[in-house]
Amino acid sequence: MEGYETSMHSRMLKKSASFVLASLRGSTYETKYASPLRSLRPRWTAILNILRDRPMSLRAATSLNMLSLGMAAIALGWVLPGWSAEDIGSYEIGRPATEAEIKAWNIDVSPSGEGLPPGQGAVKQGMQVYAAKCAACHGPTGTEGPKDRLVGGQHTLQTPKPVRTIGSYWPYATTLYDYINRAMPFNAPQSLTPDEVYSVVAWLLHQNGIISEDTVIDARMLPGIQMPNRNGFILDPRPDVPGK
Amino acid sequence: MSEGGRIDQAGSVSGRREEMRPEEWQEVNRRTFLAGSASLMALGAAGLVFGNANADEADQARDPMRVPGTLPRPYGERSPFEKLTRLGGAGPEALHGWGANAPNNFNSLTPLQDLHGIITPASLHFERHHNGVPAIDPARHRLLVHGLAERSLLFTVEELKRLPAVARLAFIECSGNTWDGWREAQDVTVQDTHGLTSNSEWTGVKLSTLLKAVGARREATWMLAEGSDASGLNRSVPLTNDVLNDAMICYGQNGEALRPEQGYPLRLLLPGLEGNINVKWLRRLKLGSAPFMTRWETAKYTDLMPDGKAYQFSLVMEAKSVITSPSGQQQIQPGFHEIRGLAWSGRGRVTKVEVSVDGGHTWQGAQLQEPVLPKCHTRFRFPWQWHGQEAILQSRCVDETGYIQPTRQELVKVRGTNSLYHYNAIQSWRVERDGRVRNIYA
Repeated sequence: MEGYETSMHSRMLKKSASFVLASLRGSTYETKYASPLRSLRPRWTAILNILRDRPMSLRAATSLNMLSLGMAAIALGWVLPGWSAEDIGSYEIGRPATEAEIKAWNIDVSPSGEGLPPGQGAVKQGMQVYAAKCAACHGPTGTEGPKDRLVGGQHTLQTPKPVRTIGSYWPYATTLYDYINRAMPFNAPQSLTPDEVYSVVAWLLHQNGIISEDTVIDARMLPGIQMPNRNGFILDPRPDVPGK
Repeated sequence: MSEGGRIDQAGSVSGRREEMRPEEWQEVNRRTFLAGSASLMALGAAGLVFGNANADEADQARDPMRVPGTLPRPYGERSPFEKLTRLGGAGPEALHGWGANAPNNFNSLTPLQDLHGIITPASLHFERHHNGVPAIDPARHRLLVHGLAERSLLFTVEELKRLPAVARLAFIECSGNTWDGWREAQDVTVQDTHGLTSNSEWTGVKLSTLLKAVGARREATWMLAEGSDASGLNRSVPLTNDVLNDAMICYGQNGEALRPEQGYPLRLLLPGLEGNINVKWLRRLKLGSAPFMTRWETAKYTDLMPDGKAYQFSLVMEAKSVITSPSGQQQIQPGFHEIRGLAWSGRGRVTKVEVSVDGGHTWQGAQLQEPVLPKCHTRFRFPWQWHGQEAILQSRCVDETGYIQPTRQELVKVRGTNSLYHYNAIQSWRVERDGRVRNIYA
């Protein structure tokens, strides 16, 4: 968990303005999630307010990275959550969930790989599953549609007609497992076995030139796959448009 | 269009039959149908003009003062003369050729041009769902709250209703609302351009109440919300102070249970944040320390900028306003018109709305209708005499943070035209010399 946290946020934040983070936090990045955060809060808030209250002309002069960081911080919960744990359970309403119940419902898959089930899938097997269950909507090679195009489009994001696909746009390979497993095929969601999901994921990654034909996908290796557009996202920098 | 509507109608019909004698039912039913017929409406109007004394026997039978009215009924219906409906079903992409994704785009649009006040009737609240509206038996439905917490708890709907309740008015706007604004202007209505926003009174339990109940840990800074529809829609919610102050798990909408299209029996409400994250048919909340990076916050609902980078977790719906009357495809006559519209901001209250009738050269303050509430539709009005010359009608709003609704030019200058979501520019309606109103960019 911590490893993922660090990689995700450092990619989005530390990279863009590590000096700001350092000055705000006064120590390592990881302390952000540690409990002494409360003491950092006033300082953090004050700095954000300075960023927010600047007139637009000054803002323009401010580094964009710094501004986006400020607004992103507000958007993303850097301000400490306000609940306290003191009155836990005082209503005594609701019942404890059993391990089995949680296991049955806890279907999400994180970028860290948490939630991925045992099993594996190969590209060749995925080709067959795709042809049988996916091609009718996404086209024989994943480019024809009629539904979302899944393959290709790399290097089009800056063009007038960007093509957003798994290969050109999706930042995490684990999201593929999560989404296909929960929502696909459209007419029979949650009908694929873990091996089938892994294999379709493998085929789609291969079609996008991300893995070789002989790669076998499983819980251990999927989180490590580097997606081409992994660094293509910035935290919400709005307000970004100066009104008159 | 609305499955729910048909079911309601059928339900009320059968209810009435049980309570009325058959001949009574037949008579009431016959009158309802007669009243609805257009030719007889004209006759009725003539009767009013010339007075009932001059009306013939047939007209007298339809004079509402001369025949007893209908009896109380178990579930009310609007007048048969009222025909207002949601629009769509296939969505903007299908309508305007943005892609071949039409059958995936289950949505319907609110008829803003014909609504009054600030409450959207539940039957006309816009819809957006990603694999249909699930049929959920509330007695079998459960909400699981787990993750970074002292304990994992399962709640029934009845249990959630026992917890301390809160209610508030709030808009929900799909972040794809007005996304044709990024492309060429089409000759369409305000329902087409802005119909993916609606406003309701919502009732439920505060999220923070549930977080206390499970003993959320301090490192729980994110929360996965998951729906129990066929798309299993899942979104990561940042647990900011704002979210913790506002967020609710709702079971009530405008005084009754949520409509199926709005998440029956439970939905998450995050006032001011984009529609998609207000997860419907809510079945699970999982506390974590980082975003879960679902498809809906990576492949979709991210805003692609001209440099190829995309805004992520762009959740707040920024201030926006639109004139709903006169508006696209309407036909107006010279003389007095009250320009009417709606303004809203995901960051708080609307503090000012200005109207221009000359394409933005001059602006005048519009009257705001009370109540003016944070993260809630606000009705504005502006009196206007139209003398038959060409006019360009615009509104712009300011919210309590000082944010000013931008022009389309200002918006496109920063974000280009490929970001799909979060289009909130000033809307322009051109009134042509013949009184036809048209959607334009000005």
